Amino acid sequence: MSHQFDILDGLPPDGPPDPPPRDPEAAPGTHPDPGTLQTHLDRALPTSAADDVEAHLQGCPQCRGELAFLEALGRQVRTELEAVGQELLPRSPGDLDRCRWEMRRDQASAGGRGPRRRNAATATGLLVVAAAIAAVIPGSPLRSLFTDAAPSTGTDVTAPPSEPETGGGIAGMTGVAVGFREGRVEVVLEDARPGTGVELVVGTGDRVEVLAPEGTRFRAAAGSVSVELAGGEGGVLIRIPPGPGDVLLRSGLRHLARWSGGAFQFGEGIAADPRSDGVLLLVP
Amino acid sequence: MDVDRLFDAVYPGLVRFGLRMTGDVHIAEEGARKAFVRFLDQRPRGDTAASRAWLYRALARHLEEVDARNRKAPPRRRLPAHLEGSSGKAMDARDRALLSALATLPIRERMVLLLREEGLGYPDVAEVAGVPPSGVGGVGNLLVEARRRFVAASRSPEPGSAPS
Repeated sequence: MSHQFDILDGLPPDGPPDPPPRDPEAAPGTHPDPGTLQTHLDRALPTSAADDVEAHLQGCPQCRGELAFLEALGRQVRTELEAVGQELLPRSPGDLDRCRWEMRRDQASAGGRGPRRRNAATATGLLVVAAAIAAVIPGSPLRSLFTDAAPSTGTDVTAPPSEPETGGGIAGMTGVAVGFREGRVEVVLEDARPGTGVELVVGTGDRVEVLAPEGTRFRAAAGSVSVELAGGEGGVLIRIPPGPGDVLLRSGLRHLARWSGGAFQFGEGIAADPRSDGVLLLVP
Repeated sequence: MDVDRLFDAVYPGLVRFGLRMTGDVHIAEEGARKAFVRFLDQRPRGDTAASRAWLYRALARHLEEVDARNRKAPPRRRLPAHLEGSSGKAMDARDRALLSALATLPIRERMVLLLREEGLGYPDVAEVAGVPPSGVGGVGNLLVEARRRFVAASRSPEPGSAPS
């Protein structure tokens, strides 16, 4: 074993001491190699091997010197690397929120093909088959889902108040879920007061969920949902499934935002405040 | 498993590892995001420590691909960017010199050195870097060699000209 310890010339006074030179008469294999000593230092050797090294160290000043050298070398490297690029790393909660949002955006753009997505596809397929069977029954309200014409008066849906914090619900909120129609869902906010917060979150699932304060009335049809906010206090939460599909959001006639191709586009003059996995809009 | 909590705990370390491996914070952030996207897609089983090792492994594979691509690219693109991060802040000369010193290390040695700096244990380092946990060419030997080379290169007047 030969080591070029001169590379450490000029280290600070507390740098590693030079190890004593090896005994040239020592038989090869007598001393543990530097990698074994390093592994011992990091307490990563199996117990029996660690006992052997420890016993050797008791009687070998050269190896004790080398062990001290390796310890100091590790400390030196750690000190030098500690500050590298620290100012570029995400540290604050705001930085992490931005990064999390970018990751969710990538996830949506990638349209993953993993087991969860395959399961979701299977479940969606079964749902479609079940709905198709139900839809052939005369008088079934599901029939409207399979025609181009929207129901003339819409389907009034006033969901019962959700159970507080159970089953993924949010206390004080109620909502509906609506599936894509030809790859598109339109959400219309009716009578929203200026300044009403609308949080758009890219979540899981395969349907667009709209949650609003209890008492809100929803009119839902295939590919669209109207939210009557009159009288309701508080904001609206819209959960958008990742993957392909357009979601359009408007307040009355004003276009607020569109989710398409894994990205948001905002209407003119609409300010968006990025959140952990979505954005917050204020109705102008 | 709470993915948000895992993200907050592991993501900064992934970016730090990627930055030190490549010298480019944009590649580091992209790789860390890709690792998490794969994690969310595949949902591997395991506790936080196992998930952390899984994420480092995914990032390491991505960085190897980037390294292989850069080797085929024109020389200009083989150099680390060392420019600035998404925060708009530039790195100082000392950081650039240290990253250049790291870039002189063979990729396995660099990986072993930096994974240990991230606090991964020997079995995880061995698995992520694709090296034996012990013996010749194992984690311990590569770690010692990497530290020596790094110190030599960081003291070299012209980073990148260190003896190999």
